[in-house]
Parts: sequence; structure tokens; C-alpha cells
Amino acid sequence: MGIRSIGLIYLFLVGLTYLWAFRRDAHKAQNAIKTGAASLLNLLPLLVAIFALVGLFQEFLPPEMIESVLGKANRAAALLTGGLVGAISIGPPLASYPIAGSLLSNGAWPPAVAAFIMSWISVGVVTLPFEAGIFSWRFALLRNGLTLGAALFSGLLLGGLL
Amino acid sequence: MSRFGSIIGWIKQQRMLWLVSLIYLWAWMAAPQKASAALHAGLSLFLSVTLLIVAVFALVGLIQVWIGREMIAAVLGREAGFKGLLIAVGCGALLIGPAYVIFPLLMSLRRLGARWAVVAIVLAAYALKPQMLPIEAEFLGLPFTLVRGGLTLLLAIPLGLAVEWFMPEDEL
Repeated sequence: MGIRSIGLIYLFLVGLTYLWAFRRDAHKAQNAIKTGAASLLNLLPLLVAIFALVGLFQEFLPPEMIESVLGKANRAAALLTGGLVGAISIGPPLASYPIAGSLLSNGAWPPAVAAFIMSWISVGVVTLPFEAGIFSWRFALLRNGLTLGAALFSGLLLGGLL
Repeated sequence: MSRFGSIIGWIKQQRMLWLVSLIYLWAWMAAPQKASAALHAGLSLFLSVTLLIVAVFALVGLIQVWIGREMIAAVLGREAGFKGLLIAVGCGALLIGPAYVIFPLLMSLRRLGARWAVVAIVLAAYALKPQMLPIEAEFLGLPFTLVRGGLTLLLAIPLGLAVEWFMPEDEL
């Protein structure tokens, strides 16, 4: 399922909710739209900046580069490198599976590959300023740091369980 | 948010935009073609999530205006106990779409009294990506995929509680 169709589904569901809201209390529903639009406008410059940054990373840090960095690492370093490279990578998880798959078939250590995927999906160094802008730097740094730790830990566990 | 706070926030946002523009300027001087390709990639990504962003912010507005503090606090606050944390795992696991789109939604719940652990647990469990599991199994094998998914769900609550433990209590 593409990201556009996911967007359409969300929009459809929220639209239905608004339909219900307008029938319940039109004034309150209008207020909700105003509140939402105000938050969006407030965050728009930050969103634009982050997406521009994401584009920069995609262009200057292509998947082939990730593979060459991770592929050469030895076991102990591979785990840490896997987590760190996953953390700075940006893109849909769909893009991480083929990279991880080819790493595995090239003999990479499975825990390192697991750490790579986990931190790819849930640690975001590039989107960190955006996360901090919304929640606070303290939360953003804590969450990303601890999640990176959890990614390394579960990578090791996964290696033991398989 | 106070007027002063929102002005400070606004300046911070502009600073980020400024910083990225500077990086682009540098990238453009170093490799103009790559820089314009990057700008293009960023723009098309932004356009692809526009609908999602509009939907999420419409929902943010609805939640802020409609749902009372008491209700959020009772379901996702401290008084909800362990059940609130389990709800967070379920919500996170079922969410689809990029995580950064979910941030404003979670913050609006937080402002209404959801605890920090709930915010962090949703973001942790969100890594399950149920809609992607078949594709993951295709590339990495079924055992790898199942164990990874299981660990993601199991670690979500400890991770969320750990984040919360380091967060100041009364800061809203």
C-alpha cells in the first residue's frame, strides 16, 4: 500500500468523524478545524525544513553506501554500526528490507542486521529537530537514545533466539 | 502555550529552516546536480504525505476541541494504570504512516493528560509495522520477522516507562 493511499484512507476516516462532529455540534466542529489548521500553520516551516533535509540525506547517503559501510564491519563493530547507520538512515522500512536481506545473504551477523532494521524504523536522527520541536529536546533525545539501546539489545536477543 | 512561548517556538522553527537552507547552499556549491535532486526528492516526499498531514492535523483539532481532559487522563493517564500502557501498545502496533506525522497527534494527547510513557510506547510499538510483515518475511525469513516483531512489542512498555522515568513530572 502506497503512502498516498494511506493518506486517502486517513483523510476518509477523519472526514467521516467530522461528518459526525458537524451533525453533533457544528460550532464545535468549526472550532476543531480552526484549531487543527492553526497547529498545522505553526509547524509548517519546520515540516518544510525537515523534508528538505530528508531529501538531502537520500541523495547524499544512497543505499549502496549503507551496504558498503555495514558489509565490511566485524561482528562487535557491526552491531553498533548497524544501529547507528539505521538511526541516520531515512526512508520507508520497505527500503530497509532489501538492504538487510542482501546483508544477511552476504554473511552479515544477524543481530547487527536486526539492530539495523529496528533503528531504521524507530530511531530518527534526521527528524530529531522536528520531534524536539513538538515534544521537547529532552524527550526526543531520551526516546531516540533509549530506542537505539533497545535496538542493539533486541538485535543480540534475536541472534540468541534464532 | 503562552504568547511568549509560542513566539520563541516560532523563532526556533525558522532557525531550522534557515539552517537547512544554509546546508543546501553549501550542497549546491559542492554538487549542484545532487542538491537539486535532493530538493526534488524532499519535495516529492512532502507532496506524497500531504493528504496524511492534513488528515492528522484535522484529527488533532477534533481531539483538542472534543475530547475532555478527564477522558484522556482516565484512559491514557497515570490513573489508567497498566491498561493504559496496553492500549498504547495496541494503538502503536496498528498505526500506519510515517512516525513523524504522528508526533503532533501524540503531543495533543499528552497536553490533554496522557502520560509520557504512553507517547513513548506508541512510538515504540509503532515499529511493528504489521502491514509490512509479509514483505519483511519475504526478504529476511519468517523466523527473523516473527522474533523481531515479538521483541518490538515486548520491549515497548519497558522502553516507554524508561523514557518517562527520565522526564520531569509536572511539565506540560
